[in-house]
Amino acid sequence: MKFYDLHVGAGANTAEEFAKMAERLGWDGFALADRFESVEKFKQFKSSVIDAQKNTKVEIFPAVEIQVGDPMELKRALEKVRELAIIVIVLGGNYKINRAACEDARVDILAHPDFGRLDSGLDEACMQKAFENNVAIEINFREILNNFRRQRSQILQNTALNLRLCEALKVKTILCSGASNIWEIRDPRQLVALAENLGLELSKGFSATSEIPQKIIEKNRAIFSGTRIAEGVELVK
Amino acid sequence: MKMVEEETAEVHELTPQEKLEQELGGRPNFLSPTLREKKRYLAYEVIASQKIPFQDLSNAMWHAILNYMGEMGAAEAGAWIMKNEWNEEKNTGMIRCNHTAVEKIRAALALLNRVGDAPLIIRVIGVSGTIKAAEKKYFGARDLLSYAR
Repeated sequence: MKFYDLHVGAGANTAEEFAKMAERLGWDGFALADRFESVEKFKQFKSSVIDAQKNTKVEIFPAVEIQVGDPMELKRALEKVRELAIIVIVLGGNYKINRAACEDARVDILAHPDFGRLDSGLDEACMQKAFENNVAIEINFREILNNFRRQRSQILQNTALNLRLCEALKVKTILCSGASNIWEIRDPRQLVALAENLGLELSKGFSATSEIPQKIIEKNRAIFSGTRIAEGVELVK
Repeated sequence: MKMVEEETAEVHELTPQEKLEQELGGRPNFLSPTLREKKRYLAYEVIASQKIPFQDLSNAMWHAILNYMGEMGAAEAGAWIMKNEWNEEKNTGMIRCNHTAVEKIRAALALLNRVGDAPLIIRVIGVSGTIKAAEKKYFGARDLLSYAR
């Protein structure tokens, strides 16, 4: 079984440092995500990740984090960046953004939909759209780690509700560390344990750190290489 | 005769724990296997930027467990951080808990990211039913039988 962490934030440490720690903790690959500002900046970031990949055993995927204020901005950003990044992560929190991300098939992951909210940030309508468009809902470990007492308990409550909704409506769930430095990465088994405490079955927890991320990567790689034309249509040589 | 008695008393000096047990009227008898709590031993590794004294680490771990599980949860889990299994060179150790609380303890340890100013990660290497098996599997301890093979 291979484990992939699809949301590690670039910035505080180099890609090599992240790779070293990820390897030590048992990850087989991770997506290093850069906050989207411009296409040129992202291209530079992508080439630096490809360079870093040469010196490490762990697979590193260039990913992009999109943080926007309104749904139209999100669409514009997706048009620019979808063909460049293997993983596209939309940072949620605002209900309109959460919903727009769920309605767009170009989005791979919706991260922390409950960020800064008292509710879980998702409803049945969002979940149905996420299911139709194959958007995965992320359980962000960093949000739990860096909050304490009342806030942490609120986040755990919202996360548990989102997990329950995902399970009921068959939406993909993935467990990510969301780390912004090497000390926030955790062993995949510990993320699974936390999700199990929140109500996710152990086997589903394992698939949320291995099978589902692997499928997302494979799907996007096939699209990038041109072998996958549409859902269910592939070129066979 | 008196001399012999004095000599034997000197040889068998009581440890503080034994003294305490003597004061409290001895130990209760062992429970039968069906009535005992089923224990698990979590072998862990500390990944840190600097050396952390065991006492500080133990306090931080208790703090993390109590924060995450609460006093009642920690009591139900029967958590115990084992001092004599701590290896300062390898930064490894063991925690004992009930078999039902393994996942909770794992998650509680995942939520510990700092001792004082030092950032750290506690990685659970594995879980075992006995100390001996945990030492063999995860810390590479060897006994005479393993040499015979």
